[in-house]
Amino acid sequence: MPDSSSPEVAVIPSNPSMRTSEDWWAIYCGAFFLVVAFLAVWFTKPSDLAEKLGTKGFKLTSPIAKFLAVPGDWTSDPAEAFVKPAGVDKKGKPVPARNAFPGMLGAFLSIGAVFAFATQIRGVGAAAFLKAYPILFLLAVLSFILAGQSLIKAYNLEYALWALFVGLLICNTVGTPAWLKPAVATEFYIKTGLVLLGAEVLMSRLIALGAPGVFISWVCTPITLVATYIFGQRILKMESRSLNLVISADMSVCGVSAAIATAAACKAKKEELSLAIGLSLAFTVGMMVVMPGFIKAVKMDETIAGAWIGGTIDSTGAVAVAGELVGNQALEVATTVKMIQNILIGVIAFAVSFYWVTFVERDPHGRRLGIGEIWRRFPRFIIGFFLASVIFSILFSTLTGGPELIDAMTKGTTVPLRSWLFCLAFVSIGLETNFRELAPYFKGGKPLTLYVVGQTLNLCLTLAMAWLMFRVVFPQGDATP
Amino acid sequence: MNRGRIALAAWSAAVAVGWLVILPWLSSLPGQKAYIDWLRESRIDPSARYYTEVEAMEPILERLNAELTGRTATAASSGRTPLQP
Repeated sequence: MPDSSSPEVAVIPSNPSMRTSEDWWAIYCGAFFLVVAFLAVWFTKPSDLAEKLGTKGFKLTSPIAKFLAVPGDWTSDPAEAFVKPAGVDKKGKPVPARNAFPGMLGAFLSIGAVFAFATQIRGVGAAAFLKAYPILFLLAVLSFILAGQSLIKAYNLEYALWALFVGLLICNTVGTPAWLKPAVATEFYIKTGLVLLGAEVLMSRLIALGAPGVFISWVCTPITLVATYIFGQRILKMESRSLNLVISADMSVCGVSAAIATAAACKAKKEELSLAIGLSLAFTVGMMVVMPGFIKAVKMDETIAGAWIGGTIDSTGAVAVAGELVGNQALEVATTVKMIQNILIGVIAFAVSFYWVTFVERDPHGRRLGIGEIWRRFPRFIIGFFLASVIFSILFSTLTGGPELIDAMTKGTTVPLRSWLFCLAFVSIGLETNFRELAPYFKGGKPLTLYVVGQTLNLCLTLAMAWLMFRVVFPQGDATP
Repeated sequence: MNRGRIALAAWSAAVAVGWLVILPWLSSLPGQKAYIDWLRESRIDPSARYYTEVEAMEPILERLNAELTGRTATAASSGRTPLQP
């Protein structure tokens, strides 16, 4: 995400070196974490895994899961984010004790060691990175604590927002000290986090899903994305194509995750990513509360309601809340539709990268780009992201106990690692952003108009498609899908 | 002390009051407390960014996994895959 405030798109004639390029190192670092995470589960799996699969109570976990964690939630005592005694919930179910310190230390050491090595080889210097990294990590811890307060969490005000806030606060008051800047590597953290996210983009899951869900997600989402982007360019005449695209993607696909992936794919500016995430979170909170109320008021069928919620609310967690508020059936349909959209991130990021290097960053003289030129300009980390998705999708569907092995690997290692990486990235964005740089993006209210118009189209199209799928094409006798 | 440091100190104090006094108080109000407890019981994290972070999806994923591999689902919510015609 370049710092330039110019709305014009730069032609990137780069031919990244495999030894020093940030994109390649994002792939190396991501691949290292993924290989270690997978082997840890693979070599500790029970020898009789095949027999144990499907037996009640069996759950595969990663042996390194306890060494990778983020701070948890708390209500009145922030210390509970780190250590919480075992207890029971209101229904008498046991709640396990929490000690996040080993997990935080593990994340601190593993990310620090890998990134220090990478910065040294890339010629940036490990010493300067290691001097700044602990402070950046502490700022990320503070962001997780702010985001972990129960009420903040309950309204979907996630850590990306608080990480930005913490960084912005420092940058716009005392200024970001020069000694901290070697660890402020926004794009490197984002790209590595995206390669890790690739292992969770499991195409194989789509095979087990029915046609209605795939239609709702894979037809409505691209139509909304493209229509919103065209509306921004042709009607609103937005100066920044990348801002137009990032807002269109986070609104039509799945909020923050899609915004991060698309922003990296189209080389959006850091301020544009911040603005898109802010818009998405603000609307998500409102839709999470209003949609279930409206659905109940009009007595909408739970299956259609679930599909509508899953296809329109940006954030995955907020989709689960809204679905559960309507009912169990709506929760199942909503989360499944959202999962299909989540998986769409891989294809969207790849398509956006291709569109960007082919049509947006085209030769100023209008010369058509050849395959070699497209390859030369194509962001390499997107290939890492896509490859991780393909490889883990194959492992997921071909290994004995593949789903359990991949689930154990992602939940135990890649989810907390990418959460730390994205949090470090958002703190870094804040530390590099002056409030005054954000002001021009609000000019004329175009981003807000774009979001509102795009979301309105999304709401209408998804509702129509849900009705068409569940009432006309695949009609069901009762409310059960 | 320059203006920047005063501003940082003031913002830090505001955040401390917000997170250590106001938010805990708001969380203790009956309506909000019931909402937070309901989320915990439902195992839903509204701030989850990806489906792999939603605990409430575990039975659904378990069933999808079982269907994919031809095994019998052990999840409490066995039945057809959501969205299958």
